[in-house]
Amino acid sequence: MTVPVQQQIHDFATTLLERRGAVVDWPDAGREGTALLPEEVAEAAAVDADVVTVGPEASGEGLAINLAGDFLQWAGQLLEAEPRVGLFGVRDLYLKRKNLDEALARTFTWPNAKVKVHKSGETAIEYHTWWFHAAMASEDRWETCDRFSLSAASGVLVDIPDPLGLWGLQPQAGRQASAPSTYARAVHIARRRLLASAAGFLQRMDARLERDRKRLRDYYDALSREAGKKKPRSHAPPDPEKVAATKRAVELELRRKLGELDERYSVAATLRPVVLVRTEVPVPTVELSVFRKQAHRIHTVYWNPLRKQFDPLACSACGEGAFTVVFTNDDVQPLCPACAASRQSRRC
Amino acid sequence: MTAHTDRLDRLPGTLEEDRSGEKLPSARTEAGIPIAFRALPPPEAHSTGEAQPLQLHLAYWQLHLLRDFDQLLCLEGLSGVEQLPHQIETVRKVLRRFRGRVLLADEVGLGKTIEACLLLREYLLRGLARRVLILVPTALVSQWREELWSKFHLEFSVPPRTGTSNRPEYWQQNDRVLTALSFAKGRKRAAAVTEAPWDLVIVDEAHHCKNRATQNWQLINALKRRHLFLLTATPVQNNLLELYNLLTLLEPGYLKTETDFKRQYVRRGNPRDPRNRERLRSLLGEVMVRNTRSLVQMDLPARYAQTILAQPHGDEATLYGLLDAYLRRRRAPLAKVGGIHANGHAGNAALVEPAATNTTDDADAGSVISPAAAPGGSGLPPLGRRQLATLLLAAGSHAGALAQSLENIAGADPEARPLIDTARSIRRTAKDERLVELLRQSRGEKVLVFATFRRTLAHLQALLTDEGFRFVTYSGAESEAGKDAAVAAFRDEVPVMLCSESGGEGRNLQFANTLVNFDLPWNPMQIEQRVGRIHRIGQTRDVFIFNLCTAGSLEARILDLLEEKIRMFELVVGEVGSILGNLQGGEEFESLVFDLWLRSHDAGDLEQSFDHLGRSLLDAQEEYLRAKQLDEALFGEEYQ
Repeated sequence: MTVPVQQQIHDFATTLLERRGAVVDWPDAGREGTALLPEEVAEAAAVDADVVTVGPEASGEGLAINLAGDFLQWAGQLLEAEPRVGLFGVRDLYLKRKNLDEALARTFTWPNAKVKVHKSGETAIEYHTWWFHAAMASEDRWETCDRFSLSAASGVLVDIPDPLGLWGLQPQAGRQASAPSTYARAVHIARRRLLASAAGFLQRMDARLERDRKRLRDYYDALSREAGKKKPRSHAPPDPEKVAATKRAVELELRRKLGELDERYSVAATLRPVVLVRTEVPVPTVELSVFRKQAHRIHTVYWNPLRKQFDPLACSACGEGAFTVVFTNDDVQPLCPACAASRQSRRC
Repeated sequence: MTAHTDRLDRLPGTLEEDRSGEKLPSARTEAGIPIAFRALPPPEAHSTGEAQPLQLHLAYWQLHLLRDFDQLLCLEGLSGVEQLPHQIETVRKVLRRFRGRVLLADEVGLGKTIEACLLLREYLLRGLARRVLILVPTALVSQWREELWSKFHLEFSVPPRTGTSNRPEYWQQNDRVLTALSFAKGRKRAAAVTEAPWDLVIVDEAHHCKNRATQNWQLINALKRRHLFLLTATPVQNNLLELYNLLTLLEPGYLKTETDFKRQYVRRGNPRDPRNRERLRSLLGEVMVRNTRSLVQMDLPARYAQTILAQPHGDEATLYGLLDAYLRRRRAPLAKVGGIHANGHAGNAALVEPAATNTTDDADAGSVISPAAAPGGSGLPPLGRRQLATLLLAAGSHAGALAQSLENIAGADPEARPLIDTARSIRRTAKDERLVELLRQSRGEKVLVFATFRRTLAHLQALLTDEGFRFVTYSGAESEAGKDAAVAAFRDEVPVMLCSESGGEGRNLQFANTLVNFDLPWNPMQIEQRVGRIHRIGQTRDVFIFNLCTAGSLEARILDLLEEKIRMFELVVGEVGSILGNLQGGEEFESLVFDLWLRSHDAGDLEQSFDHLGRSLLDAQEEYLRAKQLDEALFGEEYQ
């Protein structure tokens, strides 16, 4: 095990144990330490004693803290008691109060509508930062951890920095937390991002499957051909019925093997939301009056003080964010260029 | 017992878990592989204003990602496994290059079983496998089960020899099954075994699947499995087509068709001599790993064995004669005892109660009792197979162990009473005398003395104390600290260590080079394990083994077979297993021995049966040696 990994495990284990009420004296990651364990921890780690040695390879009654064995398993059990949703706020952000008209004009384009600023204001919205553990299991296995943030106000993907690293992050534990409104959207995005990031892995699986299919087909085709051939040193032609039966058997076996192969390569992808951080941020808002033909509707855009630019508007069809926004004729709903083009082509 | 294994089952990211959660729209890869998505539920409403618990969750999953194949998970938390560099290298290679389908063809004694078990553990820990089927020769079932549990903390279900194992549900519901290949291919079970899907199948002594016309080959071929490990030290026994057949099990079509293979690689007129060696070698290198002794520098010093026959006299001699007659009277007719596998095929575990367990000497009084009255006419039911075996083994161990076992098993029988009293009255046996002589001659050399029964160990403690020998005891009954102290004292101070069957496993005892088998297990693999405690890597001196047995006992006959016929103690570690695996009928050796006793009417009869078994052993050895020579010539040292 490399030293940084060992240190990482040490830090994780020490913090976790202490949070669960243990008293840990384990200063050096490479050596053994001791820990006084409360009942809950001792039970999860399946040790009888309450004072135990801890270390990368603790012996006897000790806790072996390493990536093998069952450390991650019982640590996972202990972690179940730790909250996975964080409620925070960002205060005292420098809010850009100068005229946002110029920024608005620079950020958005409205190809088919007339847009005017209706009024400016200020509100607080939540950004939901999701961490997903994503895994694909096929003939091989592939895993990743992914983080992305969504605006809870519009559901659009927003590229904000990791909130846990933000300066000025304030706890808001007292705040009443409702169920996260962005879960479904987050899962959709995590799925799409997983497909993109695992592209190399999937290509490898494709190539291996093709190669294995070809090998099987070549083999069974050859077996089938051989069945019809005259045996060396035999003058009589092969019995056609026997040949046909053999060929049928070979064909069946090939189908079975191909089926097994497909099963072996089928991919099971799992998306596991690991942590959600809900960060409430005070933001300047701009209400826009949008005129499309005879119709009119008010839409709100949010100035993102963390990125110092506007968040995109959410496409009413696909939910993706867009800065070039096309509006529908009847109800003046925003569409991203892709959805607008697709509607246009359907109409044609 | 299952705590650790259960944990393995529940590791996050395993196949099991991938089946839960909300189903999302599926997708397909370019080649059409279906991708089934599942999302686990969102975090619960319980929230925090602290960053630390959230960071802990993130660190936890980061640690999961760190577990790539560079770092083997299987190596930690093992008990008593010597991790040899070539084994670790093999595990890495199979994980990275072979993608779970490999022919492990290490030379005998280099630890193919350990490699396979390490790989198995790695696959389980990583969630790459959940349902595992291990197929081995009957003779090795108990050894596999014992090693899987004691060294790798993996519990496997061994199918009972009842109708239960003919039902598909048994094979569907048990995620980890260990069984004999000959049992699995049985007419009533083969369909059930092949219908169940397996993530990983391990076949030990896979050369028994060399012929595609056999049920063995066809069973393996028909199994639904993702990964397959074939283990054999002798992949080619008679001709190259056997290798072709094995590799076709692994990867059908990898060596093309049989005709193609013959045309390209088999020299006409000599099916043992390959053509296009280079091309064949490069092909084999993709599916086969073969470590050789010379390359991994695992040549051990010689070992010498001597059998010391102790001639019983007085009460002791009378006791053995009376006991034999008594047990023959109390045995059930053969059909009622239940044939060869009346107790399932848990092997020696079913016959021997090891000294380390609490049940030592307390044979299962309720097992396999026939309702018929004993032929002896005492009105008591006949003794079951396990009870008889325990009594015979105890008799071979020591009079004290016999007295205790008789008391437990047949204490209620008035006919047994005189035997118990006689056994108790014997203070010193002929074996005791010979042991004392031996220890006096050892002149300070470190001597390891093995005994199976706890009662025997207790007697030896008293004997050595009386004789003024300094000794320590190492058995399952000692605490971990006690065991450490015993090994340290044996290394630094005292010349003798008394050891139970489980004693010393995985410990470095190579500073000793003399071993005394005070009694003898009937299973040669167990004898081999005893010898392996000191005849292992790190041993620099020749090893001396002394086998004590009472003249005329079953143990003396077994020793005669193993020593005279196959010269077991001169074989390389592991070769005994290969030879026993070749025994016709594929039964466990100890079961064979017990059956010989059970079927015999008197000593003459028994001797004839042992002669016959000896011939079978010789045949099995010859078969093994032929294959070994051929494989050495074929593969050399080119597949490491």
